[in-house]
Amino acid sequence: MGVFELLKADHEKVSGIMEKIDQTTERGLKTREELFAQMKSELDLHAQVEEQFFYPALEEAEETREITLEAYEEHNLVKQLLRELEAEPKDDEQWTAKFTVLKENIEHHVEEEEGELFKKARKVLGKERSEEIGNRIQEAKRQSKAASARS
Amino acid sequence: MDAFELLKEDHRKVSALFKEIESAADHAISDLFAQLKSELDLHANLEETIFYPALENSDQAREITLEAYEEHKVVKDLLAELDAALPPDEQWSAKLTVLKENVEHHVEEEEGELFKKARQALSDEEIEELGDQLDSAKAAAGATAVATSKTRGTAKARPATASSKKSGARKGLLGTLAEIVGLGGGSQSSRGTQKASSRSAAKSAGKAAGKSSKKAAAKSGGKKAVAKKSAKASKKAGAKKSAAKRAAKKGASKGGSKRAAVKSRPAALKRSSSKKGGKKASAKKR
Repeated sequence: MGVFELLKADHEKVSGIMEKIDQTTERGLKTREELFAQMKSELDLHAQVEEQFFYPALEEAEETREITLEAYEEHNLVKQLLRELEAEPKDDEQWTAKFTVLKENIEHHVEEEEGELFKKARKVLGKERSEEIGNRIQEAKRQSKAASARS
Repeated sequence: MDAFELLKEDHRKVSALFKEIESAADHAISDLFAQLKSELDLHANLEETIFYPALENSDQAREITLEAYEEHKVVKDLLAELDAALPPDEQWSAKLTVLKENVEHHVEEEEGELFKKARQALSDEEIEELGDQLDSAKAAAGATAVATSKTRGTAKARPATASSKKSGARKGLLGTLAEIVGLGGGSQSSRGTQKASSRSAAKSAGKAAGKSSKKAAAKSGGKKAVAKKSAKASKKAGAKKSAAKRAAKKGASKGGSKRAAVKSRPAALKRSSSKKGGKKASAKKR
């Protein structure tokens, strides 16, 4: 599987969970907590595999360096917001507000990644390498999910 | 002064600073960044102590205002990270880009949805009042910045009593601010806005003054103290903040918390505007 299709599928999955969270209210605490936990684990794993297999291949190429360094920073911000959201009470309006900020930052990151970054990455990596990175990511994700299912 | 115009002016200034930093030589970046940081920190603190509290209890503006607080928090966190990571390198620039995009997004949302809803939630008089309060708090903070700035040393030499002679009512507010920021006589900045604001500042100091407005203005004057305080406050934000809000909603605004204190101001404004009656006043009863 190509790395781009694989990452796009991740983005769509996260976007679907975010839509669901958006529809919850402060009163639907349990649903909100479950959906948030699901989203966080998807995002953490997604960021991890990107940072481990995808970005390193791009940050050395002149064409993709700048946008890749920015992508790392956007990941940092998303992780920070996820930590805060995890720690704060989910039945509070302020949580909802922070969640909106997270969602907007993720949407922006996805837009930039699927647009500028993927476009440049296709040139830099070529088809064969994209396939190879895609396979490695798929394998890493499979293993991680199997491990968390066991625990 | 119109609150929206004042805030828009701030936004434009910040946007220009971003452009400057992006095209600046490496050695010039640290100074420009310091300027950007102090503009943004001050702007955020003024909005949080004067503007947002007037909006967060209005039905139509509440949600977008709570989001704005969170966007400020992201911006402040990024500013602090960038400050700690100087001198600039490639990764620093990448982080600056993330800051810039977050600020741009926030400005777009604020000047669009938030201002639109704020116009519905506030009367023209309230918008003017808030603008006056923002303006005077800003002028006071600006005076501090100028007085302590090495690069603008000339402004420091300006006679300190110029404005207090001109405007008696103003002396009270500025005097308090000056004491808090450690300036004694209330020294003046050479900014053009200062002069223009003098009348309106006097007006708002005399009229809406009360304890709460002094408190809020004083907070924005003592920059560092504010930054610390609001950082602390936002850490505690979660439960405490919303509890305070709920309490305030029920009409128990006696609490000694910062938020409760700030809230009494919009209430005062509401009273003054409701005298004139009309549609807006009724929309404001919450």
